[in-house]
Amino acid sequence: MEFIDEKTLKIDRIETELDRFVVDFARILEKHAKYVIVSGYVAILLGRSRATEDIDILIKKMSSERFIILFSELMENGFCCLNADFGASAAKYLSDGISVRFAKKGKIIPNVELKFIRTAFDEITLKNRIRALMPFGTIFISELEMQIAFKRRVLKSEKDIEDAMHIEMVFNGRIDKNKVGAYKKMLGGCYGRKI
Amino acid sequence: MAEKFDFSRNRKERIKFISMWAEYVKTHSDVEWSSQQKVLIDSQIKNAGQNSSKYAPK
Repeated sequence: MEFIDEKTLKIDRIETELDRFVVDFARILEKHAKYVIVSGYVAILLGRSRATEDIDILIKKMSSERFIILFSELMENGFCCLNADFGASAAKYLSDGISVRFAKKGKIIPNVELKFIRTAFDEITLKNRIRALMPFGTIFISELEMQIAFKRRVLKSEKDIEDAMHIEMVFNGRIDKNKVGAYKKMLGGCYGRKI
Repeated sequence: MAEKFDFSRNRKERIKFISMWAEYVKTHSDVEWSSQQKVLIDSQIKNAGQNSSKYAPK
């Protein structure tokens, strides 16, 4: 793994079924919305030795009409929604702050947990996203410092702390500790509150 | 009497493993570490998929 520029991380990883699922979903999603993948899958992408059942993705708020078009394209391409039957109901869930889950038809795991950005911190996460360039596709993930701060300051479970440790160890010398500190501070203040 | 589970020792051991694996990731090619990771991830998905068709939305 190496950063080829400030915003692009090249990972020559062997494709897993999870990667295939994420790349397939992201290829459709990116045509409709700016997105960023956060949390567990990012740690896995960066080498963490664990699996996950869901992939958290944040997108910018969009109108119900626009979301229904995205929903239809996902359905046409072999995805199904696990907690809504129609695009309109899924759009309503999202605007109410509830996440919507998508899996491949006939499957439950893995699934994408899609959410609208809700806090100023989410907005910055989306803005500062970085590109993960892999032999089988390109996706957008959250900045490493942001990932560490969120896992250490907000999520705090043993698994999340271990994810943060893994990223810190693998990217030791490249992680901007001041930036992590600043993000942690933001999460404790108004940036972490709903907008 | 059942032996008491040593959480602190278990935690230390986990951290040691995380550190060992992180070092491996740093010092080996992406292909090397990710091919090991692939075994873990693909087997989880395979196991999860065995019964999911009964419960997944059609």
